[in-house]
Parts: sequence; C-alpha cells; structure tokens
Amino acid sequence: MTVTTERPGTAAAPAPAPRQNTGILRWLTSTDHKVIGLSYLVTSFGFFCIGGLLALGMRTQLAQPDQSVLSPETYNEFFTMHGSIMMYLFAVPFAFGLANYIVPLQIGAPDVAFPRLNALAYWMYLFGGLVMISGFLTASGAANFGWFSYAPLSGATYAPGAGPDLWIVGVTVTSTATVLGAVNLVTTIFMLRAPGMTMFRMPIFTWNMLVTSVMVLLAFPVLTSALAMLFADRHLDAHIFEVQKGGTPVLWQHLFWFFGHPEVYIVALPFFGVVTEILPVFSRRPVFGYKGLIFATLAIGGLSTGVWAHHMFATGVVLLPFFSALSLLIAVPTGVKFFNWIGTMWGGQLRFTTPMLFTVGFLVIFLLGGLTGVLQAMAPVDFNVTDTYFVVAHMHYVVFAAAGFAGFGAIYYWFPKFTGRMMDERLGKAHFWLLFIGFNMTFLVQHQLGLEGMPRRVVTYRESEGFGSLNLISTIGSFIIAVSVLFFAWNLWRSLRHGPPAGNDPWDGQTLEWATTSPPPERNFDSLPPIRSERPFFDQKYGDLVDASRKT
Amino acid sequence: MRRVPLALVVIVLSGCSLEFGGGRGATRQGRAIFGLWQGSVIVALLVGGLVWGLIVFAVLRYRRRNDDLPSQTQYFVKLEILYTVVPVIIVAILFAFSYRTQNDVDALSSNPAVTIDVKGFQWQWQFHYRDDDVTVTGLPDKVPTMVLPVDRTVRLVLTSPDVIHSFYVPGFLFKRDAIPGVTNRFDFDVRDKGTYSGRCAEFCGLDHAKMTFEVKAVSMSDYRDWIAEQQRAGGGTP
Amino acid sequence: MKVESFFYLGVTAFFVVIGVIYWFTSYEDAGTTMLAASSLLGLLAGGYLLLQSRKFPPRPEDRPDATLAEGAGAVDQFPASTIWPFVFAFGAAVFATGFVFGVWVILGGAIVLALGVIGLIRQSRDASPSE
Repeated sequence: MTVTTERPGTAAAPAPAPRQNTGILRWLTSTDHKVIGLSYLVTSFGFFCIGGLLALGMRTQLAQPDQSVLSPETYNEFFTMHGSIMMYLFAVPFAFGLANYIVPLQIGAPDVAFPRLNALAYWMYLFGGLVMISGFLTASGAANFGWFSYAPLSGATYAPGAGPDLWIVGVTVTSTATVLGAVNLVTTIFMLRAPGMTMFRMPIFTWNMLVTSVMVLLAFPVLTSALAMLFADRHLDAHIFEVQKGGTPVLWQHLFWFFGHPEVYIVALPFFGVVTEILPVFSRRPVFGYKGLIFATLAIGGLSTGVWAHHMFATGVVLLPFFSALSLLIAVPTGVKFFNWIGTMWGGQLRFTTPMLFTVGFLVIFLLGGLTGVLQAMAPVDFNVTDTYFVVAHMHYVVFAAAGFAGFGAIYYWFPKFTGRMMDERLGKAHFWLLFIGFNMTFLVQHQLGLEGMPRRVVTYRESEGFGSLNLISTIGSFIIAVSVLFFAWNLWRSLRHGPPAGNDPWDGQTLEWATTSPPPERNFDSLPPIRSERPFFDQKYGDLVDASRKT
Repeated sequence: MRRVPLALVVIVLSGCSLEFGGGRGATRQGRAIFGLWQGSVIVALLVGGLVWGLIVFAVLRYRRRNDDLPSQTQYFVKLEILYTVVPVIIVAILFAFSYRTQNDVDALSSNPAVTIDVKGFQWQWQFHYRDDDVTVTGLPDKVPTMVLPVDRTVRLVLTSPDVIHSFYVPGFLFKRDAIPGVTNRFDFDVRDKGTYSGRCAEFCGLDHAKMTFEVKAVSMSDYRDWIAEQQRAGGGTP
Repeated sequence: MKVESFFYLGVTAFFVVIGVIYWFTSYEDAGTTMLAASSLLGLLAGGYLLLQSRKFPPRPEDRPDATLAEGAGAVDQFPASTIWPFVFAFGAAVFATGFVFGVWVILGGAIVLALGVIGLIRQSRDASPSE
C-alpha cells in the first residue's frame, strides 16, 4: 500500500492513514524514518554493550601483571572485536540513527527521500553486524588481528579460519548499508527541505550530517574495495598484499587509512552537531558563528581525507611533512568550533540539565583528546608514542567524548521528542558524574602508560616493567563506567514507563523538531512555523523580544 | 594498592621535572625528539589552560539567574578571524620545529661505526652485526641483548620475513616498523650508557607481548670485548 | 540547487588541489589514485546537480522569502510498510556469508536476494504505473 505524503498548508484535509501493521510485523515492515531511527539507536546501543563487555574482559586481564584471565588467543579476539564493534556497529550507526529521526524534522520534511532504502540499510546493518560477530561461534574463533586488520597478519597464512572471513564479509555488508544510508541522507537534505529552509538556514546538526554523509561516500567504498582485495588474497591467491607472491603490505595500510581516518571524523562530526544543538537551547542564545561553524565542518571534512598516513608515520615509507602539516592544520577548524561553542554559552542563561552536563563534559574531555592529537601530528613525537597506550588514551578521549558523552547527551535531549516522556534528572546526573569520573580514571593514566613504553594490544606485561599500578587504576575506572551505563539503562526503562509527559517543547527549543508533537505524527508536521532564519521555532516564540534586545 | 599513591606522585613529579611522562631520550636523536616533545607539551598546556579556563568561566559566570532572554549576539567577525588566524600561526610554528627535528632524527650518516641487520619475526628478534659477523638470536625464553658502543653512530637495517613488527626502544623515544618487503634504515647515536628495554610495538599475532629485547650501551672498549667474546663463542651467521 | 552543486564541486576542487600537491611531493601511487577518484566523485555529483539547477527556477526551499503555501500539497508517494527491504537485507547477508561457507549458501542467499529485489521493483511499479 502506498501513502501520499502531504506538506501541511493545503486547504483539503489529508487522506485518512491506511491501516498499520502492529507489533513485530510493524517493526519488520516499517518505512517510517522515526521507527527506523529508533531501531538504529536501540540496536547500536546493544552493540555498545557487547563491545563494552569485551572491554571489561580486556581490562580485567590487564589489571595486574602476568595474569591469565584470558588466554592470548581469546585476548586477541577480544580487542579486535571490541574495536570493530565500537567503530562499525556502534558509533556510526548510532549517529545515523539520530540523523534518521531528527534531520527530516529539522528541515521540515515528511520523511527521508527513499524510505524503503532506509529500511533496507537498517536491516543490512543489523544482519551484517551479526555476521561479523558470528566469528565467535566458529571453532577457531572470531577475527583476531586488530580492527585495522593489517596485512600480512590478516592473510590466509597468519589468520586462517572462518572467523576472519565472517568478519570481512560482515564488515562489507554493514559498510554497504552505511553508504546506502548516506545516499539517503544527502538526497533528503538536498531535495526535501521545507519552503524557505535554504541551505544556510539548516540547523548545524543537519549540516554536519550532510558533510558526514559525503565523507561516508568517499571513504567507505575504499574500505569495501580493500576488504574485497583481502578476501581475494585469502581465497583466490590474488597476491595483492602478500610479499612472498609479489604483493605490498603497505598498500593495505594506505587503503585502510584512507577510509580509517575519515571514519573517525565520520564518528565525531555528528556529535559535534549534537553539541551545537544542545548548547544554544540551554544557554538561551543563538548558535555563535553559524557560518563559521559550517566552514569549519567543511574544512574538517576535507582535511580529514588528506591526513590518512599519519597513522603510518612509523612505517618509514610515507611522506612525513605532507601528512604532518595537514594533521596539524586540522586543529584549526576544530579550534574554531570550540571557540564558537564557548561563544554560544557566553553571556547566556545556562541551565545545567542532564543534556547540558553531558555536553559540557564533552567539551572538557574532547579538548584533551584534541591536544594530544596535535602532539602526535608531529612525526618525531609520533615515533615515540604511536602504537602505545598514549594513542589508546588519545583515541578514547576523542571518540568517547563524541560518541559517548555527546551521544548520551543526545539521548537525554531527544528522548522526550521520541517518546513524549521526560527522563529522570537525578538518575541522569548520577550517570554523568559516574561516567565522568570512571572515564577519566580509565583513560587519563593510559597517557602515562604509553609514555612509559607500554605497547598496544599486549595480552599482559611483566611485573618488572612497572605498569601494574596504573593498569589497576584504569581497570577500576572501567568498571565505574560500566556501573554508570547501568544507571542509564535503568533511567531509560523507568522513564519509558513512568516518565512525566513532555509535551511538544520541554526544553524551549529553537529548531523545527520542537514545533511538533512528541512523538511527531506520521507525516511529522500538522503545521510549520514560517522559516526565516536558522532557528524558526525560536523566532515564532520570541521574534518580537529579540528585536528589542538585539545588541550587535 | 599501596603503590597507587606512589604512582600518582610519580605522575605529578614527572610533570614538575618537565619530562611530561617519558624519559629524556638516551640517544642524540631521542634528545631531539624530547626537545620537540617538551616544547609542544608546554604549548598544548597553555592552549588547553586558556580554553578550559574559558569553559569553566562561562559555566560559572553565566549560570541562569532569571528568565530574561540574554543577549542574542550571533557573530563577531573580527574575533572569529582572530581565532582562526592565531591557531594557524601556532601550528605553523609547531610544524617548522617538527620538520627540523624529523630531518635530524631520520638523517642517515654516510659512515656508521656499526651496522646491524635487525630481523623481527614471529615472535622474537635477531641481530646480525655485519662488520664482525656476530649474530644474536632471541628465543621464547631468552631475551636477546643488542650491545652498542656509546657516542658512535650505529646503523640499524630493519626488516621482517613474516608479518609487520615494530622495533621500539622506549628509552630512545623511538620506534620503526619491520615490514616484509621493506628495508628500513635508521641511525642511533647513544649518549647515555645503560640497559634499555625494547618491545615489539606492532601487533603481530599470538606472542606479540613476548617479543621483548634489550639494548645495552657500553664503552667502545667494552663493546669490542663483547664482540670478541661472541666470535669466540661461535656466534656467527647461522 | 546551485548551493548543493557548489558543495560537491567544492569537493572536486579540494581533491584536485590536494591530489596535485600530493603527487608532486610524494610520487606515491595509492594515495594519489584515491585522491583523484575522490575528485571524480565530486565532479559526477556536482556536475549533474549544476546542470539540473539550470533547468528550473529556484525551488521554494532555495528562496529565503518562500512561503509555506508554495510547498504545500503532495510531496511524493512511498509505500507505508513493506517486507521487501527486510527480505533483501537478509538475502544479502546470507549471500555474503556464502562466500565463507560455500556455493550452496551463496545460491540460497542469491535466491532470497532476488526475491527481495523483485518485490521492491514490483512495489514501485504498482505505486506509480505511469513510470
């Protein structure tokens, strides 16, 4: 059955909605971006929990020297799958879940451009992810060569078995799904905006998702091609990466990192967008430097595709100055964003609700990660710290700040819109403080561990190396993170059942998603405010007041 | 658990001595890296201090006082240009220093005193001293020691017959990958006598964590004695 | 539509500049190839959008002074609920897994995948018989 979607504003009443499927069948057959968005969010959170459990296993093994809580075989599978799950099955799908739900609302659209493709992409993500982790069920175990699966270690000689193959195939399916999702999002943003919603009036979250989607189009096909080549090497004797047969291991690294570096900005940019949504609302101010933020996002997106070999400084075979210079340069637009975010808060009336707490937490934590990134951009410094726990610390400071802190902030912020209910503020604050303390305890000391010489991906270390105390602190911190997630889960459960009604606009929002009911009706909007700026809903509520109080 | 407070004291003290975590680098190249590290950490702390300070200030100063709509300033172009241009200048300076240090560290001498072929394999190391035909091979339960003379240029020629490994000496603030099909060359001029632990720093499979080695820097005469002893014991090319 | 086309053409310009600099400083094949291919991606999408944008006047969403009434009315038609995306995705996953386990799994996956594709196409044709 088809539905003719209407924009509000016509004189004629819309046709009555056709009879819907219910229950599981509704979930399996829905093409509604809101249902699909929630599916992405719930599924990615599930994968986050699996990845988190793997991390707890790793941290338990590393808590003290010379332990054998996990055998080397198992440990290698754990860290490979932890990274793979977090990067492929949690961070990016979570961001696309948010985008799926929120972007059409923010641009005043009734759905995404290709609703069936949207559903298709979600199911491919889910099934691809399940294939990827099904390696754990095979006799020889899951993939065990690190989430970047360097050749020749990931070749048939050194990583035989079905687990690695399932990983390759699963990642290929799930990555294809991500590309399809990106296609959908770009088309939606280009073709389904409401009248008056010019490109330079779109909310920054939508802009960031646009840039992220184009980066996906540029980066993910390189990954799927590289994976196909790896599969060919493993099973068709292709000699692409195997040296003994004339191949080049370093080629794998070029291909992987040409994907891999944009990938981490694909993870970060959506959450930069989230931060740019939350800060203005809870400061009661407009976004500061709207155009500057857009150009910064474009600069970050562009530069991120040119820095891939900064992951390869220690190989001795890449052009160090080129990659070092561009990597240093990418700090500039990121810094611009930071100053614009501070400018958004400056002079405001700040309300420290849970979403705002998580957002300020993001700012504090991401800053440290960004600074350690600048340090590593200098090749000689990187000669020392690459492949040590210093990098592990850096990456978690940036990625966890984004997908973790800002991600949780996004949930607390938009949960009322998704469900029509408010989450509990006290549980939210407890979640935040536990997470902040646990996270810093886990990862701050890892900078020191790296500088003392602890390499990455080691199953254990000797007593004489002196890494024991800091590792113990780190492990305790990781369990505090786990407890904080329990608070979050409990809050979700309780709020779904007993949360107080939220109404359309519980936070005094500025963008269009707050101009409709919570949750929105099937066509998203029964009426739209006139769109004359980047915060049309704010204008509708406060337009007259603003003219009176405008200063600059 | 008793060592936790000690660890925290170590962290703080290492900061106070401006080492910021690692050692000062025992080679000429390592010291160059350390100089760059120290300078850039100071810059990072200053920038970080400023930005964290602004965040904390905003959070404290602009707490909600009443329900009035605050100033709705949306841009301040001169300021935005300033905080775009100044970071460009800062990173340009960092790049200049980095470029200089990188050339210094990667420079290859035309006449190294000692040349060692280093092979990283699953899961140990082999050192072959070319000029004297001495070979030291690590075993699963026997960590190999690379003896070097101080104050001389030592050339390492690094490769691997199987997967990618990485020759990492934390005390030298340096690592370089051993990649099948690639021959990497680099020089050390060790300045401080001593024994330095070495590790593999590129995940290479099951016993990656056991691929440790040692580097021992001694006087030239002690080095020659050691070479002679190795040759007597028949430590030639296997 | 013009802004959208410039967005992609900007991508093209960026990769051409970076690609040229990279090639002449490194002579490295893999990176240069990827940068060149990326610029082609931008050119394909951006060029198409630019050509399209010349064929019609600015749409309501391109004009800052557009009113909501201008965009009112039917936007498009899509199926409200459909099992075919699920079938397609399941088939694709089984098909891919077949490469690990053997030709019969590939075959099974291909059949399910084909069913999904056919289902989707027929659904589109039923919805808009004129196309």
